[in-house]
Amino acid sequence: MKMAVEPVGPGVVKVILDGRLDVAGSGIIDLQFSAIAGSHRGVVVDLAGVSFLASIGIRTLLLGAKAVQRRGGSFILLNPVEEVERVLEVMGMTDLMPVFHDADTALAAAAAQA
Amino acid sequence: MTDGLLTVSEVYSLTLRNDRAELARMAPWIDDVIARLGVAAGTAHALHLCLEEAVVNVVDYAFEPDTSHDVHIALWRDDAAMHAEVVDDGRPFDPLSYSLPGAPNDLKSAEIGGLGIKLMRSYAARVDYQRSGKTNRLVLSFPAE
Repeated sequence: MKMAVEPVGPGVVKVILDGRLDVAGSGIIDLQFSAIAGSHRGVVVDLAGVSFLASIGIRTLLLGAKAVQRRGGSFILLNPVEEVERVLEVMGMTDLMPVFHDADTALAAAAAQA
Repeated sequence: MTDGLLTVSEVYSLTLRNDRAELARMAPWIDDVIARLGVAAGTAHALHLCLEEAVVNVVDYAFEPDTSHDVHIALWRDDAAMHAEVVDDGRPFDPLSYSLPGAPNDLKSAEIGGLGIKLMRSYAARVDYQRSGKTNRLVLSFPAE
């Protein structure tokens, strides 16, 4: 599991995740991910490289989204693969964390709240 | 296929200790068994997901802290279904008796707990749980094709 962070504007960041968001993967990124979510008002999480999402990974995303929302910000998911998006839908997460399939639109939406 | 008789594959098994680090051995093993048994891509994904949730649950919650236990996992298929079994000697836990969190209304009230069991029950076609003696036996079934 790898995580890269790209600042895209004042208070806005794109987090690029790559690998399996299972127990092992979430364990690797959890601390860094929550630090990023806790310090930005616009967070776009690029999920294109995430091949597998388990409940532990949903927890990581959900805690991040809660932290961003508490400060009035916006937490957006970008480009999940079909199976991962289906998991998010089944768990009701797509109602809480908007899913975008276009990077520019996602970044504009995150910047609007920041 | 003979009328009334199911053709059952070889049973593949893996034993993990109750340690989260051990879980890294499970996904490659599942892939290897799936390649031998041949199941549909959607079933392969559901199987990975449900076994991850079931085994993490056992490793995290079934045992007293600082005690060492084995968790036995088995996979097999018949003509119609793929089956995954998780056996442990931890405290009794029936995932079917657990009341699932409803669909969250908003981020603030969304619950962090219970997500794994909800996923498992959503993705397995059938969940059977049995407690006998000191043993939990969970069997998850999926369409094979």
